Amino acid sequence: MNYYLLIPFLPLTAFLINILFGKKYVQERAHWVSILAVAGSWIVAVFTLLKVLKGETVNEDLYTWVLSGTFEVSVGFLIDQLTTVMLIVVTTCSTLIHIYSVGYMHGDKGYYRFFAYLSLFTFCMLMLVMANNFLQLYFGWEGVGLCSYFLIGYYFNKKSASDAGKKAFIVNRFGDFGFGLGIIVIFLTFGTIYYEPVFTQIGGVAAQTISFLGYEVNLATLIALLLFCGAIGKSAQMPLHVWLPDAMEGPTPVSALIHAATMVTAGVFLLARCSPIFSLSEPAMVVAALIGAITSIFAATIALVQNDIKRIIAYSTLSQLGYMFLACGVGAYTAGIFHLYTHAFFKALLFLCAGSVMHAMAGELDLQKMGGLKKYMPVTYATMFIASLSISGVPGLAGFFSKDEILWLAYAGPSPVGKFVWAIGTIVAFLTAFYSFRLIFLTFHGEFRGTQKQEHHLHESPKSMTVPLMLLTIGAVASGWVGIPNLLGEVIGIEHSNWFSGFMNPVLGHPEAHGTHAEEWMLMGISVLAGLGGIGLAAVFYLGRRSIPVLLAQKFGFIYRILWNKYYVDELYSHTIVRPTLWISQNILMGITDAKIIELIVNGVPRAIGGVSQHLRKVQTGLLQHYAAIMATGALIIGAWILLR
Amino acid sequence: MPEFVMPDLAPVMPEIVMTILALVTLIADIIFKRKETLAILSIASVVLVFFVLFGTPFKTTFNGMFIADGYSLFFKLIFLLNVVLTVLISMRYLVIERVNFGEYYSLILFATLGMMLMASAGDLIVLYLGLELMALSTYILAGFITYDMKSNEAAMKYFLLGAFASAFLLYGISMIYGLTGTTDLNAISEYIILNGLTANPVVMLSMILFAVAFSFKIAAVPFHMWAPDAYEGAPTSVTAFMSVGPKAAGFAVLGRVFLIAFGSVRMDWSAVLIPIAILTMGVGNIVALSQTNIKRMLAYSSIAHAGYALLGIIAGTGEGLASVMNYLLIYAFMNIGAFAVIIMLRTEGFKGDTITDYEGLAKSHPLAAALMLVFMFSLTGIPPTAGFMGKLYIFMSAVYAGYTWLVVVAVIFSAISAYFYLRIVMYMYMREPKESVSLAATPALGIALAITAAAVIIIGVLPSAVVSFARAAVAGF
Amino acid sequence: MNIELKEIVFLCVAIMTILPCFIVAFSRNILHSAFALFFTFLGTAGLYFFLDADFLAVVQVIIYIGGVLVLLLFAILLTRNIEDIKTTNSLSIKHSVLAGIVSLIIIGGLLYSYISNRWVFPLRENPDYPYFTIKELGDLLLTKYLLPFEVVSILLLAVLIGSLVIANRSVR
Repeated sequence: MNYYLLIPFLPLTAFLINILFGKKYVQERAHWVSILAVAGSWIVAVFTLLKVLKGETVNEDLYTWVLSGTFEVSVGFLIDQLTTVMLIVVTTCSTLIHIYSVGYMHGDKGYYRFFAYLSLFTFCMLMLVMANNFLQLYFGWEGVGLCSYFLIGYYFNKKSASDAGKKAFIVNRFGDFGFGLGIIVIFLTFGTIYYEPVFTQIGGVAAQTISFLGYEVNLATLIALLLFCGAIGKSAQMPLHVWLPDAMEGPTPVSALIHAATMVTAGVFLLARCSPIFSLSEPAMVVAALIGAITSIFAATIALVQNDIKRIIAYSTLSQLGYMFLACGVGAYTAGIFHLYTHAFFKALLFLCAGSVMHAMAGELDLQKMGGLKKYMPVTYATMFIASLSISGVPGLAGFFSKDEILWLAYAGPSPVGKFVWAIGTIVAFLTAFYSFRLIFLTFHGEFRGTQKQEHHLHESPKSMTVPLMLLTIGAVASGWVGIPNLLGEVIGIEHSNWFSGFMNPVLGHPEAHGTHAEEWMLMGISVLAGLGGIGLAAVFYLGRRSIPVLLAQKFGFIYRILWNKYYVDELYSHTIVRPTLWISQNILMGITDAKIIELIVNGVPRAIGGVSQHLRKVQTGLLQHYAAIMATGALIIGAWILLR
Repeated sequence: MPEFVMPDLAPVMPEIVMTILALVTLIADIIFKRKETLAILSIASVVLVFFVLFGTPFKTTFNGMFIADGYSLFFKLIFLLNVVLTVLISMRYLVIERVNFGEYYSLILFATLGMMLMASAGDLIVLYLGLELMALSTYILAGFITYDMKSNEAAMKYFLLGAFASAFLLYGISMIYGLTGTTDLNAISEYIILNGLTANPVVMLSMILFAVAFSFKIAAVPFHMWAPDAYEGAPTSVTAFMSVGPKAAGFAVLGRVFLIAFGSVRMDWSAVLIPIAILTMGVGNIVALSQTNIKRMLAYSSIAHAGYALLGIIAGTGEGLASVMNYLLIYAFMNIGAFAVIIMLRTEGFKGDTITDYEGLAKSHPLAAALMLVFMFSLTGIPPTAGFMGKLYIFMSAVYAGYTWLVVVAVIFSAISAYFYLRIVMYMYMREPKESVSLAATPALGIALAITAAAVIIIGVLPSAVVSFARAAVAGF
Repeated sequence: MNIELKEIVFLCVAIMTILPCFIVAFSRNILHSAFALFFTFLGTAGLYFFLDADFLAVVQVIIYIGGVLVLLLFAILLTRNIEDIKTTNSLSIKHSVLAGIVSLIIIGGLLYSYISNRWVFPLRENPDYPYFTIKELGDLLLTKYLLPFEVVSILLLAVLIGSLVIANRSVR
């Protein structure tokens, strides 16, 4: 029996029940349906993990959707080590966030709708990671995107929310266009869209080049870069990152689940899944590593000065995703997935804590209006503190192990840009620690800076919210223990302590690393120092002399303004793409054709066809003689054509 | 003097049972006052025929005039389905239109009997008679609302032009008979090949005349002129009936005659059908854009869909034929489903057949709007609905037969079609309701909608069962 | 050219067929047209006899004279203001020219086929061709063409129901 089918289809069932019967019957009990389903998925996922640990992987078609000639599309499932890790991450986070939402969304008008969407999202995400062919992957890919837009625009009465949904939609179009094109190229090259034959045959075509837009391009590089387009869209990497910070307009559980733990990591998953393709193309690898590195430092610097609690965490997510891309770019796929896995826990935790804070502050997001919350909400404080320690790479916690592995493999790996991205990664580690603790100190320490009314309202969140926080804390602390570097393992007396790397070996291979133990110790030391240094500096700035950051902001006003305005990327897009388009349409085209361009494109073509339509419809006179005459003429013309040809 | 030999009746059993039950329905009309009884009786008849159909051996009888095979079985299923769905959506509608008479059901059964004979015809004479039986019954049904001028006009135009098309068919039959001395499809094919008549002008002319007559039945341009007027004027339930049944029957005979009798001149008839297909898709989709009456819009949509289905015939392969059959089955579900929603809007004193009547339907009747959305998506061909699957298979078979450029044309017209289908969706969901619309929902209508909507989605998600059934049906062709 | 009796009879029949056609087409009195049609139908039946199609000839008399023409006369009888029909039957120059051209094309086509073809009469040369066709047709209808025969009966029934539907409702 295909037990694993329960994993995606339980949430789907929950979605159907909630969407069909939610309004009338389920109503306030909607969470039971969804939570039970997702928890069931989680149990089956754990069961699957046990099977996979025994070496039982699955790669089979459930049923054939379309079969026409050589074109075959099936719903098929591939369950290997990589899939299993993703299953555990998705179902665990999803379950905990579902539970959290019970408290967070309590009393919301669209309660059942919210849970229905969450379940649908979970279904799509699971289909995405469990696919054994590119088309199903694409289906899941678009599915999670769709749910994401629904949920970003969940408060659709709020203009900024629906605008953010639209922005996410449009920006993702760019990436998905490339992704779709990549799948088409794969089908044209291999005649199949299944992972297995594609990955086994890719070696044979790696040297081929094809002419693309007038350039001779290496086929593997072309496919890899097209797929990469999709990855950077979904994972919000430069230059398509602009949608993610705005996506924080959605409810916080959504930010935690979709925009931190699962959906946005789909890009990393794609890179890891297609590692046989990427590994054959050095240019694509270098691009991935550089884009990852640039995004990570870019986002980290912006996060330094922001005041919106959710946006800081969103930029932090961007930055950490950059880390994962960087890891894949240097060939350390295992490390990238490892970071994806640990990151899911501590980042979901950070978001949920932020949600808890917002809950207490009645929706207030501005750090400058908080402060001293630690005595009102001890659980939130403690869990968020641990999560921040983890993300900062404090030894022993989850974030430390995954981050350290990435940095070491970047440094010691064969990648031509390895040393460079290592340097950036280390700086980012420092910055990450700094902004994470800036957030902690500004929120929980010092005096309360909000209004009296707000202070009166402060309270710890209900159990349904704090329990998931505590459970996630376990993950934020301990999830990294499955991947302790062998170097450290020897010290504490565990052999092959980097169990995770061994586990992923059959799928992702073993990354190359050339370096001495001394070097590895040194690098570990540097990254730990960077993390602790960041925390220390934040403490000095925000616990000690509060005047320093103000002074710095004044003195380096130029830099501060750049960071505050997020490097003006939104403005850049606005000035280079959006406004010129509008300007051309309003001025030039309106001047020339006396009509608006939007109307020209959106309405012009249909209108032209409509014009033809209006003329053609006049042929239908309603007069019988005309009809008969047209029939006869038609027959005559056909006859003449065939007989006289 | 030839001896009378009792022919093997087993393969004709479904038709015999159908005839008997149609007569029973006719007599029951006198006995029962409640006409709903007749509706149930005719559905029961069809179900009975359905079971008989599956017990029928695949054989040829009546000197090769009647062929029972997988191909005819598949089409007969479409016809029977068409009857069930039409009857379900008719029951309340006939009361509203004040034409609740028993002959309606008998005529539907007789028309279906004609279609079944067409699908099984192995001889041009049987084919012609089946076609006339179907057509004459349908003419009457189109004019069933005798007090309504539009309905009368529809029947009149359909009848006169239909007679005109029949003349073409008879002319074609007489020509091929004059040349080959037979009306048997296989014998015609043999005669053409044996005597090397593949370039003979009489064969060409007769083939063209067949193409014209069948194009009329499937409403292909430029022989479609009757369709918009007839579809708009006829009672809505009859429009649903005749947009599916006669069209499918037309394709059944088109496939059989062209692939068997004219199989050796494939290149010539595809040269005839290709321009017809392009014109059909083009005119159907483009003129549909400027329609304001939803029945008329669906008439043009029905024309366009015939154009897509023609691609499968043009492909000329077994796979192409299977995809056409698959498409027609899917079309039966989605089109009758759409008509069921239209009928639901028809109440006493409210026509509900202009596009603006659908404004804000999602607010007042969310379920009806959602169903309409499913059918419109399917007609557009948006996955995961059945309409997408149907189009995909047709297009794939055409691509494999080497008609990629034709598929590109079809996809472009298909994209244009999205405009008018989705306009209905836009009206339903994006606009505010103008006046309160009440629905004439009945259990029967509910069953029809449930069947069609479920089928549209299930076939969209799990198409392989239907497709492999169609492929198996063609295999014994 | 040796004119036999048969040829003379044929000519008479042909004239009886064609001449009334002009009355049918050009008469302004519909009653005259209807009566002229009677002779045309009768002449056509005669032509069938000359083609050795005795069954067809009899059927022609039964259906066209016994059925169609009688129906037509009844229709005229039951229609009021039948005289008004005259006013609508006008022919414009444009239409006459068009009709003339079409007629010329048809005549040309007929002449062409008459001149260019070698006319043979295979039926007469065929020794198997029956002297009376009615019996042979009856045999065929109940053996080879049994299915079409049965289908035709159903077809007629359907048409009967249909005409009742229309007629009955209209009267009601």
